[in-house]
Amino acid sequence: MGRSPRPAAWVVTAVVACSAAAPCPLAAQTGATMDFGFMNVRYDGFLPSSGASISPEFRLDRSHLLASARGTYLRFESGRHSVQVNFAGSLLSGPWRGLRGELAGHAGVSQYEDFASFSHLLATPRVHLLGARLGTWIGSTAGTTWLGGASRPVAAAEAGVWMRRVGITWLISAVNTHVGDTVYTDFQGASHFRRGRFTFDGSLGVRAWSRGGGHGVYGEASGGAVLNPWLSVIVSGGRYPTDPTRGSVSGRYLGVSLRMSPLLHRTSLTVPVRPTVVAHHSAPPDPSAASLELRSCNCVGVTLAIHAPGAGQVEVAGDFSNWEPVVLSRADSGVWTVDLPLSRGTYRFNVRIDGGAWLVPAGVTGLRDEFGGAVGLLRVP
Amino acid sequence: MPNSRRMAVLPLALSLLVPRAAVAQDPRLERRLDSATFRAVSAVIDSADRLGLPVEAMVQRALEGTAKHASSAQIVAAVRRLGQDLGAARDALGAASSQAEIVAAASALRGGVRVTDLTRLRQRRTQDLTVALATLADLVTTGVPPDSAAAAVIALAASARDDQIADFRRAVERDIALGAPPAAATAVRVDATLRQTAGITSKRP
Repeated sequence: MGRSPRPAAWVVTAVVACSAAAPCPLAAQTGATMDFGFMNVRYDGFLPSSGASISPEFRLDRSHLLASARGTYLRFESGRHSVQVNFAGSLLSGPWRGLRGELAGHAGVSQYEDFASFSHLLATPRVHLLGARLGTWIGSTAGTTWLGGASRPVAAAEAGVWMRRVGITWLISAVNTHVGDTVYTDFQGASHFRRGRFTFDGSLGVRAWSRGGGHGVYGEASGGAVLNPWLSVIVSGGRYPTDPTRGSVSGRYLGVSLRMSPLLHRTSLTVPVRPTVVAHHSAPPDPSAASLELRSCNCVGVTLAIHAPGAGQVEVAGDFSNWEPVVLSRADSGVWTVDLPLSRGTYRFNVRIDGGAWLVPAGVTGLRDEFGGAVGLLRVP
Repeated sequence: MPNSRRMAVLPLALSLLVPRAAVAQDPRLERRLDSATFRAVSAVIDSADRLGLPVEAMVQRALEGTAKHASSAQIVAAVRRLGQDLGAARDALGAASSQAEIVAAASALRGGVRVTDLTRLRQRRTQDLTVALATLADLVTTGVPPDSAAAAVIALAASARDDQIADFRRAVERDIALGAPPAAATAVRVDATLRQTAGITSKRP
């Protein structure tokens, strides 16, 4: 919790916005802004709540260097509050045969009330292939996220394509993210349109192949108008997904904010670098680890389904079998199943692949056993 | 270990340390443990049985050890520790506690929950504690600090039904799986559940 909704920030990395053939339009934007916002937000599983926010931001955008620092203080109508501070920066190489390299870094911390805070530190190298109206990029992310003192590795791989047509910039991307044992893939499309004093940003995404990161469709949109050289108004809303790296829970929001730009030559409605198209990931999962799923069955009890591609034999043992190994049957691709006559309760158990060590499959709470290993807790609802 | 817990555990610990004639001749143990381990484990289990503790969990712990090719010393020590936890749990909850309550409370103790919190939980809730204790044990195993978990379950104990406590646990686990800090998820969800039990529908952040 504690994510402050923000305007639809489809903004690609600045490199994407700046083609190799054209001058970068962001190059002249340097300065500071202050957003005063009011929004209604509904985090998944909670009732709607209104809140007010204040968000100062400093930006430095040059042709080879982009940097921003943004803070947000959000106070809910309940009196609770959250604070976020984020830093982002990118070093860009000069164009070479249509290619441009980028090394991006992100760091941030967020805190809800006085609970343990989330923080993260990420590095993202990218390679861009740029044209005047069409470009593509690939990249990867490595870093760490912390909850209190506990860290989880973050790793990601990303690829995307952008194009400019009829004055609108379009973008499609795919990002596979690992945060500890949480894994998910986001497919996202986004568009950016600017005409005179008006700007529109929109995005639509799908989260799939997720373990612990949630599923579903999300999208955000924002429209802004420059009222005078130092003041603009932005209306935004939409649904955003859970971000395990930054510790935000998925939710919906609708908000309006005033952006003051006292130090800018002109106001910018572009939301600062948000690596929306970037993934933040953790180390790849242990290839020997299996994942477990409980299914209802046409039997008394449950069906235990274990995803273990490549396994020649899968066994399970636990309190329910007097710790005698029970051999699972191969079902569809990579999935092994067994029907167990389990009633509601919690059981200690382990899984064994091809006669190896007893392990705790992914997606299951594990404990240190008292025999030098780990034991899983199987909860039957 | 807090003094109160140490005192509660002491009589049982002493009884478990004293070998007795094994009357708990569980065929599962006899078949799968070597004779020396079988005798030692049976003595511990027999002592626990005489004290009225639920010994099936201890049998299963011994079987788990042998399935994992643990040493005899490891198996005996694990069974003895579990017996001590069961005894401490029964002392904290009272002699009238059910076997399911004692087993769940022992898991909570192993996770770091204090004996005094179990006693407070018993004092706060007149109904069966199995679901509340299982929730408490589950919370600490999913990363919620024991103090926070105990405070949350004790807060719910007086007014929440079992199904509401189970819903609370599921909500916390889902929040944690979605990336929420465990302590934050617990605090927010307990607040929401208390509001629900009080008839207040708002659960705003």
